[in-house]
Amino acid sequence: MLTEEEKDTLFDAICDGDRETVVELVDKARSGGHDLGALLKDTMIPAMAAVGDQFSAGEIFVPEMLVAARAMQGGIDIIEPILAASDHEPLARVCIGSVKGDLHDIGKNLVVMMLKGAGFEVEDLGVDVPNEAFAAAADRGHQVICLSALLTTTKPQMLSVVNYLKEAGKTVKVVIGGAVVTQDYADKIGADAFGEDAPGAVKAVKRALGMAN
Amino acid sequence: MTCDPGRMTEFEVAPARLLQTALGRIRRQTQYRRPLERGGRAAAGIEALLAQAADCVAALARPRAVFVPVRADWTTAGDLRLSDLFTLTAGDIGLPPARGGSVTAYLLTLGFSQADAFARLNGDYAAQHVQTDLSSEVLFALGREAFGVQQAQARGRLRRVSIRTSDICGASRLWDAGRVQALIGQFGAANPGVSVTSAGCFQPLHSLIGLTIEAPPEG
Repeated sequence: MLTEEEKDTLFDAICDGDRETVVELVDKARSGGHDLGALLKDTMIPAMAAVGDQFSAGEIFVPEMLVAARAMQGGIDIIEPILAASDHEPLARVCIGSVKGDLHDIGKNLVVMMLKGAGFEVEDLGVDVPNEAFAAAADRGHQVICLSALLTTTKPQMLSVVNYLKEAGKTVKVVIGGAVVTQDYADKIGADAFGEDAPGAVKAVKRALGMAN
Repeated sequence: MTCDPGRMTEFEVAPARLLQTALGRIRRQTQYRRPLERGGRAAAGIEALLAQAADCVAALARPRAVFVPVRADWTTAGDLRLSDLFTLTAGDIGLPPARGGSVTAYLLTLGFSQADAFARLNGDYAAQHVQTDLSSEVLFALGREAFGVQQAQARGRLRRVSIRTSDICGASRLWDAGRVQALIGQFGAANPGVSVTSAGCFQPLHSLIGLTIEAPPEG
């Protein structure tokens, strides 16, 4: 079991990007029979949320968020197989990809890290993803599809995906984001939510699923 | 390296030298400089990510610059007709109307895909992000080096016209992907494997294309 003080240390280690300490404490929790689902939910996910809030407030920069997410991942790598073997359910199943024609992965990758750090199960479809692949992801049971576009020329492809999913009768939620995307555009194309940055994408996914306002 | 005006020129640059420049520049970017200055665990983590990214780029990159002369016909209005492919207005070029000059197309690439890098980084998203930032700086370092050589060989003033097929913050001075594809075709067998998607995205991602216009020597 981890003491309250150790849980505080774990929280701080994630915020500081101290992967070594995160791995050490999560491993200790695992060996001691700690409820890893609770540790993830009550300590680790709030730590990543705090990192996201710091980023959104302009208090830290992307590289610091990357280091924190990597430290978090060190812990998740230990916890995930154990939870997967139990009845533990992720917050939701999300898939993400850069739309057809867009080969950029930089924004998408940040969102993947933040979604995993928030407790979502994430399938990364990669870049240059055709509409059919997003529809197939919906068929595999993903509740949310996140679309990323970095370019003015690939942004219209988001509308194409939304229409394709509608015409195919998929009821999956669609969240969009990327440097060229705005809330107005999300409203215009009928997306369920818009994330203005990586932490904002987590909030948008939660909004789309009715988990947050 | 030499660049002979009027002839196709191609050079490959060792990644190590470009990386040294790129690492210096990335450390001066605010997003890296500030946390590195703050020190502590986060700074150490960022240094580790930079080292991992640099190893990846050093292993995969084959930075190449190719310059090919392009037949250019200037109109009296200062527009430019390139190899009977398309016409560029002064607005397209982004410079005041030119009064003639020889035109060279350039193609720069680091020669590896994001997928190759991600695989080499064992699917580490954080390292991949830093690799992308670093590769942009390596590409710009390649460009500066290549243009320095070209400038040194030029007889007149050299003006560089970068071509952007897409933009993350606006649509000014954008070339459509079709024109870029046509320009890429000018490189023929000298093209080091660069293509552009219908949306104007380069593949490999860290590639650039553009023109240099060498003004006639003042007489």
